Amino acid sequence: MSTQTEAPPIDAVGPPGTSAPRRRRRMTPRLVGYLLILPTVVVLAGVQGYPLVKLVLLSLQDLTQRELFSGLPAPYVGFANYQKVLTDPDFYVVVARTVVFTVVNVALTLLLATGVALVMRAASRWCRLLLTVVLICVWAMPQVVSTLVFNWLFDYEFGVVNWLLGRLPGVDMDNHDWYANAFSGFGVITLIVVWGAIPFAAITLYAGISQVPKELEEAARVDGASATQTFLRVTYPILRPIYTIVTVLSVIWDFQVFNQIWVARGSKPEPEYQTLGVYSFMRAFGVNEYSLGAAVAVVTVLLLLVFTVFYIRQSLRLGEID
Amino acid sequence: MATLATRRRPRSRGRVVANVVGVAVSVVMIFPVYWMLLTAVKPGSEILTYTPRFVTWHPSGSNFVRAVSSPHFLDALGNSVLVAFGTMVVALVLALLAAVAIARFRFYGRKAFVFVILVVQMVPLSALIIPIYLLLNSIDAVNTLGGVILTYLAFVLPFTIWTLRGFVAGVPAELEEAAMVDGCTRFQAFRKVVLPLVFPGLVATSIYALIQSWNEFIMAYVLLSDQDKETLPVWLVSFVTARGIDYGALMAGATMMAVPVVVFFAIIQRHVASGLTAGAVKG
Amino acid sequence: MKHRLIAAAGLAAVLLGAAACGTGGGTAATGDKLSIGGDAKATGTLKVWLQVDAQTGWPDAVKAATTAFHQKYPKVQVQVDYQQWNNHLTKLDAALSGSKVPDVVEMGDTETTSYLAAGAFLDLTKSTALFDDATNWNKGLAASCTFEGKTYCVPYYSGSRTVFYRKDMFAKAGIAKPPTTYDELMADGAKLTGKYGSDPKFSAFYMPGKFWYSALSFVYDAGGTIATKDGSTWKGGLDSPAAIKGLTQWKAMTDKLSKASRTTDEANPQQYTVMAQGHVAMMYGLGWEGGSVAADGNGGNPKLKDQIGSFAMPSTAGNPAMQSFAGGSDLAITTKSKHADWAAAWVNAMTGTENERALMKAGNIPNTTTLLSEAAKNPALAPAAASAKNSWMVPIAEGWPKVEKSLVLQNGLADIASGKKSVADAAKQMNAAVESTLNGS
Repeated sequence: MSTQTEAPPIDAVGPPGTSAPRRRRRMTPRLVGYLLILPTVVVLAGVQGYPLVKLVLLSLQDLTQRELFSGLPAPYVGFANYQKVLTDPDFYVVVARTVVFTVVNVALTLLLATGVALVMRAASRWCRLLLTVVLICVWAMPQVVSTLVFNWLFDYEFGVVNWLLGRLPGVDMDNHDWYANAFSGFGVITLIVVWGAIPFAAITLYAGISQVPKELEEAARVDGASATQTFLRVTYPILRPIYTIVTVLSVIWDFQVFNQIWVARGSKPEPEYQTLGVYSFMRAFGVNEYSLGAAVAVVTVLLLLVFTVFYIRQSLRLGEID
Repeated sequence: MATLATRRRPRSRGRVVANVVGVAVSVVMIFPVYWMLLTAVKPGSEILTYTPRFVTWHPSGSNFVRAVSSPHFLDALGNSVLVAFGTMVVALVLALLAAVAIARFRFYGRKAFVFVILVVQMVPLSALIIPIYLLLNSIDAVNTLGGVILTYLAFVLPFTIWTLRGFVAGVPAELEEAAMVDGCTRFQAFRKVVLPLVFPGLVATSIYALIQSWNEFIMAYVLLSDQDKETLPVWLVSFVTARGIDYGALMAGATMMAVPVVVFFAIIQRHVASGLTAGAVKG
Repeated sequence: MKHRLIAAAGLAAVLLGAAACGTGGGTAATGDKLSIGGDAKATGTLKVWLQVDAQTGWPDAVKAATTAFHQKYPKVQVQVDYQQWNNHLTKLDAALSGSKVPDVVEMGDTETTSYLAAGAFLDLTKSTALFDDATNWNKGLAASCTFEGKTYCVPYYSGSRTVFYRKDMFAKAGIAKPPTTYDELMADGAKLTGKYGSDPKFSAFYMPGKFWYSALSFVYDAGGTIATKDGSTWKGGLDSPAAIKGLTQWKAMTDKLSKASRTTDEANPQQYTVMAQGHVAMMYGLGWEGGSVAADGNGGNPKLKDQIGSFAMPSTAGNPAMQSFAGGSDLAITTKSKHADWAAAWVNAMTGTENERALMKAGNIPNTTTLLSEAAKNPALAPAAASAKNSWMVPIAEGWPKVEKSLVLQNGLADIASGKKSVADAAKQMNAAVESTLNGS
């Protein structure tokens, strides 16, 4: 048993294409494929399928609380909701702000998470353990609480950060308001978001990195490649599918960020703090404009698709390689 | 063999640098968590102060007592364990199957499946609350833990499938084929070759699935109307009222909530190590 | 791909059909009189959603209400579930769209109108006589339950704001007694600033920039309004000379006496926790906030016990006192409730005279003017009771909750407080937004 789990290193396997003789097989691969995805399809079609169809229908209707509570059919209004969203000049400002926010946050998350993963790989066992425990603790902290703690750290009255910075010579942080201008305010929000996103990204990347045989990297080093070159030429290509996932997911999450901004602004965000998630809540869900909210949601999905189309294509292509 | 040499190698400068950076990163990252723990053990008078106190000389368990004795703590704990671990186990099984399907098998509609899995994750949650509620209402699953698990599955599955697909794809198909040349069936080859190599991925995704469903608030709050059915995050926010926040009890509650996740990770951590060694490290 | 889509559409159609059957349950809304006489044999469960404040603030009153209810319906179970202010409307919307609805719901008095208009709550117009002392319901609260001449809910409790001050600081600054006119207030503020101004954190009067209940009290005090109904349309009042005068005075007072953040409100952080730190001489707060300053726990400071007094906020226009916002809560019975009689019986028990006295003890303003006169005799409640008699209420318009949630007022006021915009510009902008939202665009 145990001898068989000793998988040969990748480079020990013969060149691809020297395929093994056809083995005994009762089912066609196609059928097996369908059987394997069946349970997932059932769950997703059941729990997500109906809500998604409903969402699209909703975006073409005008559903108010009256219809919602009574179960009466809502009138269809064609693309009126979309028109309302797309003719709102604020909407484009919000989208632009959201895009910038997403790019900055995703880039920082990936950069820092890669750094952490590489440090974990290079560090001693105890240090790796320490980092892992820290990451898990950060990840395990309920979001409701972590946003409150950050709020506290940067509070105008009770802020720990203001107090600490105020100890520095020549710095007066009494009555310093981090949110008085949107630039420093978004700085704090970025800190909260990236801090919360690093554990997932770093642990996933580390899991990926640990799949890369050390021999490969060592061989590259022996051949005279620098650490950066080794990472870019050897490690990164192997990790690409994982990077794709982490990037796309980070984009999706940061694009829709809501909680961190909402709590940081004491549930009263100023217009200059509105990203798409906050905007759609304030213009739609928070004020019971379900149909408008549905339209914003559909537009959000379309925007995200545009945003991630490069990665999707890459991912589908990658999916074909094996 | 190679590892023996690695172990004996004198500490390289790179390792020292990595350790220093690692410790520095840990200290910065952990601070909010430390603040949570600290607040949880502080006496009430030391919690909110203009001059922050970074240590307490009067640690007390009174916040924990208040949190534990608040209504429905045990109900919420039980419900959360059921929901989170239930979601995690089912999600991992379903996702592994689907991940193998899309990474290893060619079938008509595979691309569409991958595409749908991706798009599903892009829909803002706030837009789905009412439709999901109506759906569960129509199958009489509102206010049941089963309904919540089903909902979480739908949210967690796409991610788990996607991630696991990456890990499965990362295992060269040649390894499996080699095993099959040696007489393994496809299933045996999968179990003995692919599974150990995918294990780190399974661990990463299981933590993801666990934490997502352990900490999720809004769907649980909307779907579960009876208080004896509520989960821990819903229970936790009861310390935030219009009349102020009981920071002590809130942080004590949050600490207790975080412990099972950390413990779970500590347990599977060992398996991560053995999963990893299957690759190269062990001689 | 095509086949899949067709299959998905088919499945969706089936599910949609199922959903259509699933909704529509519950008894139809009737304006008929309810009967709460009691039924010893009735069995079942009455579901009540109260806000979390009751769980922490007056659990005994809830218990007492259920005990009283059980005397009429001994076999009916009462299940009270506590909700969060932040998300309770999302949960309520979802629940009301389905078939499993709570029977009794608590609503903030500025949240009700859109629900009244949407027919979410049972019409109680013909049943008001069933409730204790209904003819003397607190006017502001009763107004929040009334839509187009019909009554849809029952006043539960309210709060009103007075000024809480540090007796010791006043004494040290040489102020013999609390101010009764606005000029005195400003003069006392100047004395306090003179005495304690070297402390960079010191606020003679703590006034955060988004504290809209306070800023709008200045508006109403100066004779302005948020909006008034003119025939079938709403006419905004925030750009009127009176309103601008009020806002200008609020801004002047904030600039002179307050170091509070211009971008936060009275609840983030809770202003009583700030006052408890000892750098604030006055704040404008609800009855419970005054008590919380010196409370043990939740950020209170027990050392300030006996140092906190209160007085009515003086009027800028020479009125006896400044009008306070009539914030509060109502209890409503859902239209879809299958047990409207039980629900009414429980609501009556919860809001009955005896129970309201218990709520008063927890620092609340009771729901009737009769009880308000009683409260006026209680020294701890007297200033709040006095200001409750003289209060303002937001426009009772279907679109009001939208105005509040769109944050135009809060953000406009923050712009005034921080000086980003002039009072006139900000007022004009707020007014335009309020007017267009109330008129349903």
